[in-house]
Amino acid sequence: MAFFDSLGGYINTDISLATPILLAGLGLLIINRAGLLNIGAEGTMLIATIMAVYGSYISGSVWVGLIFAMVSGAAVGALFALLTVTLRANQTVVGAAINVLGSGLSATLFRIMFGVSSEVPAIDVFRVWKIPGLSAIPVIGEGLFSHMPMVYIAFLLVPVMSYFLFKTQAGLNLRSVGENPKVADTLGINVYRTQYIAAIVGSMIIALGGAFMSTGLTKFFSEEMVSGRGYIALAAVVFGRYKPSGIMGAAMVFMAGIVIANILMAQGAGIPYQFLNMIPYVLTVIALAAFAHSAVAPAALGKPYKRG
Amino acid sequence: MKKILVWLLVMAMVFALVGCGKSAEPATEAPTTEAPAGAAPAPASGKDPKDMKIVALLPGTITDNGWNFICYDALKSICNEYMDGKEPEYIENIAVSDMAGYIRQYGEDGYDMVIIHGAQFEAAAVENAPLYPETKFCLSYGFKIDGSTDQNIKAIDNLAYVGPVGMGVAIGGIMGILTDSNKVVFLGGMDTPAISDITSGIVPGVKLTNPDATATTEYLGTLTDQDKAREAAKAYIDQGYDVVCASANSAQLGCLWAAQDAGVYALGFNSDQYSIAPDAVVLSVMRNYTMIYKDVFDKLVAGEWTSGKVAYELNQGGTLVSEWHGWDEKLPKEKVDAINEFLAKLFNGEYEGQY
Repeated sequence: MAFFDSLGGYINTDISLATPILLAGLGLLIINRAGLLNIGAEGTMLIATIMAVYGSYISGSVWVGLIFAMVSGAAVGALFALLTVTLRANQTVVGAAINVLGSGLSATLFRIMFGVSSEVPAIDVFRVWKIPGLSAIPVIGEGLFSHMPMVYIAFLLVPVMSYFLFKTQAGLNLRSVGENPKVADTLGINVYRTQYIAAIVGSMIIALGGAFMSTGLTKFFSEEMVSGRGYIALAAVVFGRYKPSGIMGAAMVFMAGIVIANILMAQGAGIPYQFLNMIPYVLTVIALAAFAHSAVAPAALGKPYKRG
Repeated sequence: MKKILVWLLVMAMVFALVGCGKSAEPATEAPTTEAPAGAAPAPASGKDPKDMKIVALLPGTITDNGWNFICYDALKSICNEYMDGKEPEYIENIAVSDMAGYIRQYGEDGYDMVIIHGAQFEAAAVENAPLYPETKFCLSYGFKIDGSTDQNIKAIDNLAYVGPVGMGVAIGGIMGILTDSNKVVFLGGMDTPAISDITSGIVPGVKLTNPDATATTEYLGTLTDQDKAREAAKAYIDQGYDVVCASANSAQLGCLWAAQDAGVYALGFNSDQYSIAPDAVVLSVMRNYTMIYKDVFDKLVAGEWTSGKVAYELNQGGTLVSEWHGWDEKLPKEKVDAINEFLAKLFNGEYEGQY
């Protein structure tokens, strides 16, 4: 039963690969639920990857890197909110601009900070933290309880976010702004402030996903290293029906595609690599086609709100 | 309000453009007037190398730890040696469809040497180089290492097809000696000429030193996604492969990290990658474009420019193997001896006809 022996490893890989997409998806969810359409997750993550590496490099602690990344995320979120909420610019265009900005800015910062060389400086990165006791369980222990701290944080954020959005007054206020800002405003909710906070906090969570890529999954920055995960997170939010648990499932299904592709490749199945690389995307398309009909986007998503 | 928005967007675009690294501005400082005492005799081409203009046209970014970095590095050493450390000129991230435009631009500007870094640009080079006979164009590769496509090389006076050959066999041979499980894997990034040519040398190389071993070559489908590359390498290691090498620019770092985590051997490629995964990277095999482009430039200065296929064989220094970094102490002695012997024979040309 070679497959069963390796199952824990496969689950482990799936979960750690899914973490950046989960974090980005949860961040996007908060922003979307406040009625803002942000397609700039890729750029936000890219800026966070270099900031996390830089913070870890100069301080020697990966947690400082994480704070650097979150500050950069907050700055990007504030910029997004300024342009879309205060200035009411087209949200899709601003999101696209953030992606271009992130790609260019991260590359420029990287060259300023580290120069151009083939050397890869050693920085402090996240290490696997096995949960005592639980990690000794066969299969599940390896699959679920032998991860880096960021993975636990990301998956704990799922119930926290669900509780916040659907069980608290602040969550209700946030959702009502996304559904009908005019009514929310009439009821005394400060729409602009809510959207600003959502954009900033959401972008900080997206930045966590970027930070985990460069200081957890890998050990340094390289240009364009996010490689489309910011866009996959956009799909995960829709496929996850704008719910935290749905996003978690979507991220894991998508990354299961990569795990399956890798297994098939290493088994020497003789399938051309182009087809193997398609698997995650095909899975996403199938899943979207099967579930997206019941996706209910916030009613005011992408519509700028003007008071009065 | 709208004005602010416009300016913010403009700023965003400026940042993005800066990131594209277009440092192809002509150097602003005036050339130094003082000639060093006892200056070299006037070069045969009638031009001082200090006044020569050279540019590299690259398919990717110079920070990719691989194909584009080695070209930038070569250019930089030319600038340091002949042009008082002038900033190298290069354009990054050029799409195949845009290359013709760049070639014409630098041809019109009267550049002396234009490096077109990638055989995917062959059609653009062949079509446009004859328009600018005063400019010399170097296409990186454009021929298959095994010589099977030499007939495709066009006789154009100012176009050279430049590249090192034989490193695939070197990698394969070392991997064949290192393996204990008799399973080795080489992962290419994309199916581009510069990568597929190495891949084609791996299996023959492994056969030279270890006919019983299984040599697998596969493509990752990415040059940037280190995370995906790491998981792919891990999947092979789980299958019992115990030597990993990759040619996938920055994504290949993921493969080296996977080897380090799993405690199997790896080989670095393109530059000396020992420091990236010191517990895994036994040796690095490096394409020596620094020597190659300097040699091409030297010949241009000396008026000995040759067009057509300019291949650098192993015994001409086109490919280098890094030092051991202490691995000659850590490995079993018979493996170290076998690798040293294999490399000596290979670089002396004793395996003729093997690519």
